[in-house]
Amino acid sequence: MKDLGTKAINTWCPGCGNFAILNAIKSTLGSLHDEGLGLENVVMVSGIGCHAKIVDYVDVNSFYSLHGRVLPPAEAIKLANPALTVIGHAGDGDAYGEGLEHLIFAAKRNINITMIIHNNRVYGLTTGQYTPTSPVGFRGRSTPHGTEERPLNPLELMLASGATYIARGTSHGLPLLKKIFKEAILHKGFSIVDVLQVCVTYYNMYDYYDKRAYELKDHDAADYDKALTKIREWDYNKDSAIPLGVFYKKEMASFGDTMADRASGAIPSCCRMTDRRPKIKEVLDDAV
Amino acid sequence: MRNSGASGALFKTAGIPWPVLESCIKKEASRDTELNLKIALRSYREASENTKIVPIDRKALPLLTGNEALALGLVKAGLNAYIAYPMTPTSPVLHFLAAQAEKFSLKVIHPESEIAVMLMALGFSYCGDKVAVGTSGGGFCLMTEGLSFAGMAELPVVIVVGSRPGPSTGLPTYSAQTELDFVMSAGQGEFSRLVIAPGDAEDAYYSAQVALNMATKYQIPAIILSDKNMGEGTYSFNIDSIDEVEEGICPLWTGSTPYKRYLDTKTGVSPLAFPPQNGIVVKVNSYEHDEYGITTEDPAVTTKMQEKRLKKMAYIEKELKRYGPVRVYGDKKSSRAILCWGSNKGVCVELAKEMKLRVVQPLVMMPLDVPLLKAALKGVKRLVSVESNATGQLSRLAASNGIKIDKKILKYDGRPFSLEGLKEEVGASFK
Repeated sequence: MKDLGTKAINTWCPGCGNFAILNAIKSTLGSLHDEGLGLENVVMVSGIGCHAKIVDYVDVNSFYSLHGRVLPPAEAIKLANPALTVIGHAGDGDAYGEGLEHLIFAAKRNINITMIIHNNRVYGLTTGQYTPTSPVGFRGRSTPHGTEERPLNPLELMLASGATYIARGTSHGLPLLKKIFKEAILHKGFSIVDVLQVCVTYYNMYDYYDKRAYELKDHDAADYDKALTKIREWDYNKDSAIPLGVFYKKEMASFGDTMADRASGAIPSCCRMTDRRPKIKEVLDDAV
Repeated sequence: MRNSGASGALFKTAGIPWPVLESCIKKEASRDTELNLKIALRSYREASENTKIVPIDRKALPLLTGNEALALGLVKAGLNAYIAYPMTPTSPVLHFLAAQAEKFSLKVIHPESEIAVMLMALGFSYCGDKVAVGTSGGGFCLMTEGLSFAGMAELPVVIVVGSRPGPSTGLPTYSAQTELDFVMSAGQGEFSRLVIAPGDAEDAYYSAQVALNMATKYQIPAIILSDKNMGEGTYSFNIDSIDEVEEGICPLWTGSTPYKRYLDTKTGVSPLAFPPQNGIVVKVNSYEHDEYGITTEDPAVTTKMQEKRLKKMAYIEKELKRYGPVRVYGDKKSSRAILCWGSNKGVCVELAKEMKLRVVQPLVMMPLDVPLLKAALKGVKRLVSVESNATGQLSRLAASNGIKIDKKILKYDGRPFSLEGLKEEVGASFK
């Protein structure tokens, strides 16, 4: 297995939870490669935020997008060439804040891609403001007296929107993270993995999560109602136990299933000529 | 039924023989054909003949709207994917291409917003598909972050912007030429782009090809600026009268490794590769990046890459000369001229015939070929501009390039110029 690193210098803070995600995704890709997936088929898409640097650090095809705009290009890449394995990375700011509409629609379409949310519940790159998943009363630089709004439970929203693979991990739990990433990537449909990733600089939650997180056992992930109950056990606000693992998994039809596959090995149209004159003539003849 | 009644009277008034209408109704009225025929015939008999339209002795031409011609031009240039959120006046491009999707193996998608539209387009572009999007001014507002991204990441894309009166919702179903300034400057940062403004259906078919070809060849965003009058206006369409446009393609990466998506070259255009390609990775980036597409903040690399993206413009300008970026109509020797653009071409050319005027229409607005425009205006003593906006956007562009406009005729009530109305105003301007 080749080293998936690049020459880019890693600029995450020491102790950043993103390292766990980076290690888990590299190891997952390595494992998929060993099982026969050509890594040239993998495209990683990122938004803007600390998480986004991950595409510079992994030597696979990548599309470094805009804040909140991971999903539209990720979906389009899958639709342009269904043979590709598309993995999106987004922060809680760009998946649950600025790009929320795209997340809901991607789930609604059950499009066959995987989204990994680096959810540290704080804006790290912009130096410490509250996000859609920060708890009530969060004191950030834009809310010095504490937030007055309750956090979203993004997984409940995803279940309601039609996502067919919903899971949660933490950056203190590499074996589980690897297992979930692999399953999410192999799942046919829209997969979302919310990773409680810790920002050591602006919101260090390692102890908090270590005390409360537990792994789901004997949970029936095929059951929508049971999934909903488990997803609601922790609402990103109260100090309850925090379940980790796969909440929901179901096989359903995906958007784009009926779109034509590109012939394997074909040169894309922007580098070759097409001649559509005869067919255009047919259209014009119909308009006489 | 009401339409059949009106048609009967109209055909009679115009002196068109009954069998012509009869065959039209049989072709178009799929329901209650017999009843429609009865109604039409009754009204045909009731009306009186006021004029006689003589049939022309030549092959019948297809009728196309500007939007349809534009869409066919994109298809001709190799379009694979069209993405749009419905908005007047370009929704018909979406409808037409959705209906033709199977015939031309197109992927036509209507996603959640114009933001998604533009970003999806860039995803298709990354995979090597020729892609276009369509909208109006309001939707284009939402697309501008993606437009700037296309400029930075050098992802080819065509954006069809059909203007209508603003600001804001304005007069959504009327026409205007208010977005010239906007499309030329939209998006943060400085990057190469093309803006082309067709004046009718044949122009639209031609311009759409030029736009998609140039976008592809130079890996830039190209904007087709139309308006409601051009897009939804119906024209007879003679494909044989339109110059052939050779399909533009991008240089394909030939296999030297490691692959550099942003290899700096003489023209600034990097050879392309697409995933999946064994042994290499393809990285595009909205951040400033090095030749590999890896993020950088290095001052020397930043300077070099900014220059790489901008130097394409000189080559684009040179190549555009072959496409006739400035058009001259009417009496080409006249010292009295009209400067117009977009859908006002039709009425201006018609008026020019009557008044023996010269008409100059820049087809490519950006990069504006100033030497060619000045040559087209050579010998002009008095120049009148005609525009459907309140501030004279082309007039300002011309003036900033040293072209003196003697009089601006501006109309901004959403309605097209009528020949009679324009004649009066132009006539007064040349007194």
